[in-house]
Amino acid sequence: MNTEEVVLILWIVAGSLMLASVLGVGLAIMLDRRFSLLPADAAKAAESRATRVAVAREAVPPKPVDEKALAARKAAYRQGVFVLIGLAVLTVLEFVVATALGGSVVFLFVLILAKAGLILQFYMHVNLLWSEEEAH
Amino acid sequence: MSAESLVEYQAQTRANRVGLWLFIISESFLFGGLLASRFYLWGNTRPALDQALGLIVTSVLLISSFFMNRAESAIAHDDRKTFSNSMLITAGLGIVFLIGVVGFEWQGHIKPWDGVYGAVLFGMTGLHALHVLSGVVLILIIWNLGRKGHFSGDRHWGVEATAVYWHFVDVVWVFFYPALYLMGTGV
Repeated sequence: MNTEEVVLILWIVAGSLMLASVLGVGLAIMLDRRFSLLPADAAKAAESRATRVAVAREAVPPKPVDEKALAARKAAYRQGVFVLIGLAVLTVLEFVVATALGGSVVFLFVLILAKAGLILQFYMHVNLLWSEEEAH
Repeated sequence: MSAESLVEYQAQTRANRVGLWLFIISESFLFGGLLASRFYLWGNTRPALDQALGLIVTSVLLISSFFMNRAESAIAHDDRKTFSNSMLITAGLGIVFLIGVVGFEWQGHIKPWDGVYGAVLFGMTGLHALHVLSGVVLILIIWNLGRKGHFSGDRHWGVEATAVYWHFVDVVWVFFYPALYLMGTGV
Protein backbone atom coordinates (compact mmCIF):
# COMPACT_ATOMS: atom_id res chain seq x y z
CA MET A 1 0.00 0.00 0.00
CA ASN A 2 1.54 3.33 -1.03
CA THR A 3 1.47 6.69 0.73
CA GLU A 4 -1.39 8.05 -1.40
CA GLU A 5 -3.63 5.17 -0.41
CA VAL A 6 -2.82 5.65 3.29
CA VAL A 7 -3.60 9.37 3.00
CA LEU A 8 -6.88 8.59 1.25
CA ILE A 9 -7.90 6.17 4.01
CA LEU A 10 -7.04 8.78 6.65
CA TRP A 11 -9.19 11.29 4.78
CA ILE A 12 -12.09 8.82 4.69
CA VAL A 13 -11.79 8.16 8.44
CA ALA A 14 -11.43 11.89 9.24
CA GLY A 15 -14.37 12.72 6.96
CA SER A 16 -16.52 10.07 8.64
CA LEU A 17 -15.67 11.49 12.08
CA MET A 18 -16.47 15.04 10.96
CA LEU A 19 -19.74 13.92 9.43
CA ALA A 20 -20.56 12.04 12.65
CA SER A 21 -19.84 15.18 14.68
CA VAL A 22 -22.04 17.37 12.51
CA LEU A 23 -24.87 14.85 12.51
CA GLY A 24 -24.48 14.33 16.26
CA VAL A 25 -24.71 18.04 17.04
CA GLY A 26 -27.67 18.44 14.69
CA LEU A 27 -29.42 15.49 16.28
CA ALA A 28 -28.68 16.79 19.78
CA ILE A 29 -30.22 20.18 18.92
CA MET A 30 -33.26 18.53 17.39
CA LEU A 31 -33.72 16.22 20.38
CA ASP A 32 -33.21 19.11 22.80
CA ARG A 33 -36.05 20.97 21.14
CA ARG A 34 -38.17 17.84 21.38
CA PHE A 35 -37.29 16.71 24.93
CA SER A 36 -35.66 19.78 26.54
CA LEU A 37 -32.51 17.94 27.62
CA LEU A 38 -29.80 20.57 27.76
CA PRO A 39 -28.98 22.48 31.01
CA ALA A 40 -30.02 25.85 29.51
CA ASP A 41 -33.55 24.56 29.37
CA ALA A 42 -33.45 22.94 32.80
CA ALA A 43 -36.26 25.10 34.15
CA LYS A 44 -38.36 24.40 31.11
CA ALA A 45 -37.56 20.68 31.42
CA ALA A 46 -38.51 20.67 35.11
CA GLU A 47 -41.79 22.36 34.26
CA SER A 48 -42.41 19.85 31.50
CA ARG A 49 -41.62 16.98 33.85
CA ALA A 50 -43.90 18.40 36.55
CA THR A 51 -46.70 18.59 34.00
CA ARG A 52 -46.08 15.00 32.96
CA VAL A 53 -46.09 13.87 36.59
CA ALA A 54 -49.33 15.74 37.26
CA VAL A 55 -50.99 14.19 34.22
CA ALA A 56 -49.71 10.74 35.10
CA ARG A 57 -51.01 11.00 38.67
CA GLU A 58 -54.46 11.33 37.19
CA ALA A 59 -54.04 8.54 34.70
CA VAL A 60 -51.85 5.75 36.04
CA PRO A 61 -53.28 2.60 34.47
CA PRO A 62 -54.18 -0.23 36.81
CA LYS A 63 -51.97 -3.31 36.80
CA PRO A 64 -53.35 -5.90 34.38
CA VAL A 65 -54.86 -9.04 35.78
CA ASP A 66 -52.60 -12.07 35.79
CA GLU A 67 -54.11 -13.70 32.72
CA LYS A 68 -53.54 -10.62 30.61
CA ALA A 69 -49.97 -10.28 31.90
CA LEU A 70 -49.33 -13.92 31.09
CA ALA A 71 -50.73 -13.52 27.58
CA ALA A 72 -48.61 -10.40 27.02
CA ARG A 73 -45.51 -12.23 28.23
CA LYS A 74 -46.19 -15.17 25.90
CA ALA A 75 -46.79 -12.79 22.99
CA ALA A 76 -43.44 -11.07 23.66
CA TYR A 77 -41.61 -14.41 23.74
CA ARG A 78 -43.40 -15.54 20.57
CA GLN A 79 -42.38 -12.40 18.72
CA GLY A 80 -38.74 -13.07 19.65
CA VAL A 81 -39.00 -16.57 18.18
CA PHE A 82 -40.52 -15.28 14.92
CA VAL A 83 -37.74 -12.71 14.54
CA LEU A 84 -35.09 -15.39 15.15
CA ILE A 85 -36.69 -17.59 12.46
CA GLY A 86 -36.67 -14.62 10.06
CA LEU A 87 -32.99 -13.94 10.80
CA ALA A 88 -32.11 -17.62 10.34
CA VAL A 89 -33.88 -17.79 6.96
CA LEU A 90 -32.15 -14.60 5.74
CA THR A 91 -28.73 -15.86 6.92
CA VAL A 92 -29.15 -19.18 5.09
CA LEU A 93 -30.31 -17.28 1.99
CA GLU A 94 -27.21 -15.07 2.26
CA PHE A 95 -24.95 -18.10 2.46
CA VAL A 96 -26.65 -19.85 -0.48
CA VAL A 97 -26.61 -16.71 -2.64
CA ALA A 98 -22.89 -16.17 -1.96
CA THR A 99 -21.63 -19.73 -2.25
CA ALA A 100 -23.92 -21.44 -4.78
CA LEU A 101 -25.25 -18.59 -6.90
CA GLY A 102 -22.13 -16.48 -7.40
CA GLY A 103 -22.95 -13.79 -4.84
CA SER A 104 -24.47 -10.56 -6.12
CA VAL A 105 -23.22 -7.79 -3.82
CA VAL A 106 -26.42 -5.79 -4.34
CA PHE A 107 -28.63 -8.73 -3.40
CA LEU A 108 -26.43 -9.49 -0.40
CA PHE A 109 -26.80 -5.87 0.77
CA VAL A 110 -30.59 -6.14 0.47
CA LEU A 111 -30.48 -9.21 2.73
CA ILE A 112 -28.12 -7.44 5.17
CA LEU A 113 -30.43 -4.44 5.42
CA ALA A 114 -33.44 -6.71 5.96
CA LYS A 115 -31.66 -8.48 8.83
CA ALA A 116 -30.49 -5.22 10.38
CA GLY A 117 -34.01 -3.81 10.06
CA LEU A 118 -35.51 -6.80 11.87
CA ILE A 119 -33.05 -6.43 14.77
CA LEU A 120 -33.44 -2.65 14.98
CA GLN A 121 -37.23 -2.78 15.02
CA PHE A 122 -38.01 -5.86 17.10
CA TYR A 123 -34.95 -6.41 19.30
CA MET A 124 -33.60 -2.86 19.76
CA HIS A 125 -37.05 -1.19 19.83
CA VAL A 126 -35.79 1.84 17.92
CA ASN A 127 -39.36 3.15 17.70
CA LEU A 128 -39.30 3.86 21.46
CA LEU A 129 -37.10 6.87 20.67
CA TRP A 130 -40.05 8.79 19.31
CA SER A 131 -42.78 7.00 21.21
CA GLU A 132 -44.20 7.98 24.59
CA GLU A 133 -45.02 4.35 25.36
CA GLU A 134 -42.75 2.08 27.36
CA ALA A 135 -41.29 -1.14 25.96
CA HIS A 136 -43.20 -4.42 25.99
CA MET B 1 -43.34 2.38 43.66
CA SER B 2 -45.50 5.49 43.76
CA ALA B 3 -47.03 6.76 40.54
CA GLU B 4 -45.00 9.95 40.80
CA SER B 5 -41.61 8.28 41.13
CA LEU B 6 -42.50 5.79 38.40
CA VAL B 7 -43.35 8.60 35.99
CA GLU B 8 -40.11 10.37 36.89
CA TYR B 9 -38.21 7.15 36.30
CA GLN B 10 -39.85 6.75 32.90
CA ALA B 11 -39.04 10.35 31.95
CA GLN B 12 -35.42 9.78 32.98
CA THR B 13 -35.38 6.54 30.99
CA ARG B 14 -36.51 8.40 27.86
CA ALA B 15 -33.61 10.83 28.25
CA ASN B 16 -31.19 7.94 28.92
CA ARG B 17 -32.44 6.22 25.80
CA VAL B 18 -31.61 9.25 23.65
CA GLY B 19 -28.09 9.33 25.09
CA LEU B 20 -27.59 5.63 24.46
CA TRP B 21 -28.69 5.95 20.83
CA LEU B 22 -26.33 8.88 20.28
CA PHE B 23 -23.56 6.61 21.54
CA ILE B 24 -24.75 3.84 19.19
CA ILE B 25 -24.70 6.27 16.25
CA SER B 26 -21.14 7.35 17.07
CA GLU B 27 -20.08 3.70 17.29
CA SER B 28 -21.71 2.93 13.94
CA PHE B 29 -19.46 5.54 12.29
CA LEU B 30 -16.43 3.78 13.75
CA PHE B 31 -17.50 0.41 12.37
CA GLY B 32 -18.67 2.08 9.15
CA GLY B 33 -15.12 3.39 8.62
CA LEU B 34 -13.76 -0.14 9.01
CA LEU B 35 -16.35 -1.49 6.56
CA ALA B 36 -15.41 1.21 4.04
CA SER B 37 -11.73 0.30 4.37
CA ARG B 38 -12.61 -3.33 3.57
CA PHE B 39 -14.23 -2.35 0.27
CA TYR B 40 -11.44 0.10 -0.57
CA LEU B 41 -8.57 -2.27 0.19
CA TRP B 42 -10.06 -5.63 -0.81
CA GLY B 43 -12.25 -4.49 -3.69
CA ASN B 44 -14.03 -7.46 -5.22
CA THR B 45 -11.75 -10.01 -3.56
CA ARG B 46 -11.60 -11.72 -0.19
CA PRO B 47 -9.21 -14.06 1.60
CA ALA B 48 -9.99 -17.77 1.80
CA LEU B 49 -11.66 -18.03 5.20
CA ASP B 50 -13.35 -21.00 6.81
CA GLN B 51 -16.94 -20.70 5.56
CA ALA B 52 -18.36 -23.21 8.03
CA LEU B 53 -16.78 -21.36 10.95
CA GLY B 54 -18.15 -18.02 9.70
CA LEU B 55 -21.66 -19.43 9.47
CA ILE B 56 -21.42 -21.06 12.90
CA VAL B 57 -20.22 -17.94 14.76
CA THR B 58 -22.84 -15.85 12.95
CA SER B 59 -25.58 -18.26 14.02
CA VAL B 60 -24.27 -18.24 17.59
CA LEU B 61 -24.42 -14.45 17.75
CA LEU B 62 -27.93 -14.31 16.26
CA ILE B 63 -29.15 -16.90 18.78
CA SER B 64 -27.52 -14.90 21.58
CA SER B 65 -29.51 -11.87 20.45
CA PHE B 66 -32.69 -13.94 20.69
CA PHE B 67 -31.88 -14.87 24.29
CA MET B 68 -31.00 -11.27 25.14
CA ASN B 69 -34.39 -10.20 23.81
CA ARG B 70 -35.99 -13.00 25.83
CA ALA B 71 -34.23 -11.77 28.98
CA GLU B 72 -35.43 -8.21 28.41
CA SER B 73 -39.01 -9.35 27.76
CA ALA B 74 -38.85 -11.57 30.85
CA ILE B 75 -37.79 -8.83 33.26
CA ALA B 76 -40.36 -6.47 31.71
CA HIS B 77 -42.99 -9.06 32.68
CA ASP B 78 -41.46 -9.88 36.09
CA ASP B 79 -40.38 -13.35 34.99
CA ARG B 80 -37.14 -13.44 36.97
CA LYS B 81 -36.22 -17.06 36.37
CA THR B 82 -36.38 -16.72 32.56
CA PHE B 83 -34.49 -13.42 32.82
CA SER B 84 -31.68 -14.96 34.82
CA ASN B 85 -31.37 -18.07 32.62
CA SER B 86 -31.53 -16.11 29.36
CA MET B 87 -28.86 -13.64 30.50
CA LEU B 88 -26.49 -16.49 31.37
CA ILE B 89 -27.17 -18.23 28.04
CA THR B 90 -26.50 -14.94 26.19
CA ALA B 91 -23.18 -14.47 28.00
CA GLY B 92 -22.26 -18.10 27.28
CA LEU B 93 -23.02 -17.73 23.58
CA GLY B 94 -20.98 -14.52 23.51
CA ILE B 95 -18.02 -16.45 24.91
CA VAL B 96 -18.56 -19.20 22.31
CA PHE B 97 -18.49 -16.52 19.59
CA LEU B 98 -15.21 -15.16 20.99
CA ILE B 99 -13.69 -18.63 21.06
CA GLY B 100 -14.77 -19.15 17.43
CA VAL B 101 -13.19 -15.90 16.22
CA VAL B 102 -10.12 -15.60 18.44
CA GLY B 103 -9.45 -19.27 19.10
CA PHE B 104 -10.08 -20.60 15.59
CA GLU B 105 -10.31 -17.89 12.91
CA TRP B 106 -7.29 -16.01 14.20
CA GLN B 107 -5.24 -19.21 14.28
CA GLY B 108 -5.73 -19.77 10.53
CA HIS B 109 -3.26 -19.09 7.75
CA ILE B 110 -3.83 -15.29 7.68
CA LYS B 111 -1.88 -13.20 10.18
CA PRO B 112 -2.23 -9.45 11.00
CA TRP B 113 0.99 -8.63 9.13
CA ASP B 114 -0.14 -10.36 5.91
CA GLY B 115 -0.77 -7.17 3.92
CA VAL B 116 -4.21 -5.67 3.45
CA TYR B 117 -6.03 -8.97 4.02
CA GLY B 118 -4.52 -9.52 7.43
CA ALA B 119 -4.84 -5.88 8.47
CA VAL B 120 -8.51 -5.55 7.52
CA LEU B 121 -9.52 -8.97 8.82
CA PHE B 122 -7.87 -8.49 12.21
CA GLY B 123 -8.89 -4.83 12.43
CA MET B 124 -12.56 -5.61 11.85
CA THR B 125 -12.84 -8.83 13.85
CA GLY B 126 -10.58 -7.47 16.60
CA LEU B 127 -12.57 -4.35 17.29
CA HIS B 128 -15.81 -6.32 17.07
CA ALA B 129 -14.47 -9.00 19.43
CA LEU B 130 -13.52 -6.26 21.91
CA HIS B 131 -17.14 -5.07 21.86
CA VAL B 132 -18.41 -8.63 22.32
CA LEU B 133 -16.09 -9.04 25.30
CA SER B 134 -17.26 -5.79 26.91
CA GLY B 135 -20.87 -6.85 26.19
CA VAL B 136 -20.33 -10.17 27.98
CA VAL B 137 -18.89 -8.36 31.01
CA LEU B 138 -21.84 -5.97 31.00
CA ILE B 139 -24.32 -8.85 30.74
CA LEU B 140 -22.74 -10.61 33.71
CA ILE B 141 -22.86 -7.40 35.80
CA ILE B 142 -26.53 -6.87 34.93
CA TRP B 143 -27.32 -10.53 35.59
CA ASN B 144 -25.74 -10.21 39.04
CA LEU B 145 -27.69 -7.02 39.78
CA GLY B 146 -30.89 -8.72 38.60
CA ARG B 147 -30.15 -11.68 40.87
CA LYS B 148 -29.98 -9.24 43.79
CA GLY B 149 -33.37 -7.78 42.84
CA HIS B 150 -32.29 -4.47 41.30
CA PHE B 151 -34.74 -4.70 38.40
CA SER B 152 -38.49 -5.10 38.05
CA GLY B 153 -41.12 -4.90 35.36
CA ASP B 154 -41.38 -1.15 35.87
CA ARG B 155 -37.68 -0.39 36.42
CA HIS B 156 -35.22 -2.17 34.16
CA TRP B 157 -33.32 0.50 32.27
CA GLY B 158 -30.03 -1.32 32.94
CA VAL B 159 -31.34 -4.43 31.21
CA GLU B 160 -32.75 -2.45 28.29
CA ALA B 161 -29.46 -0.57 27.76
CA THR B 162 -27.45 -3.79 27.88
CA ALA B 163 -29.85 -5.41 25.40
CA VAL B 164 -29.60 -2.48 22.96
CA TYR B 165 -25.80 -2.58 23.18
CA TRP B 166 -25.72 -6.34 22.62
CA HIS B 167 -28.10 -6.15 19.65
CA PHE B 168 -25.97 -3.37 18.18
CA VAL B 169 -22.92 -5.65 18.37
CA ASP B 170 -25.05 -8.22 16.55
CA VAL B 171 -26.09 -5.70 13.85
CA VAL B 172 -22.42 -4.84 13.28
CA TRP B 173 -21.67 -8.52 12.68
CA VAL B 174 -24.67 -8.71 10.31
CA PHE B 175 -22.70 -6.28 8.11
CA PHE B 176 -19.23 -7.71 8.80
CA TYR B 177 -19.99 -11.38 8.14
CA PRO B 178 -20.95 -11.04 4.44
CA ALA B 179 -18.25 -8.39 3.89
CA LEU B 180 -15.53 -10.69 5.23
CA TYR B 181 -16.74 -14.15 4.28
CA LEU B 182 -19.17 -13.89 1.36
CA MET B 183 -18.60 -10.89 -0.89
CA GLY B 184 -16.00 -10.97 -3.66
CA THR B 185 -13.88 -13.67 -5.22
CA GLY B 186 -11.68 -15.78 -2.98
CA VAL B 187 -7.92 -15.35 -3.45
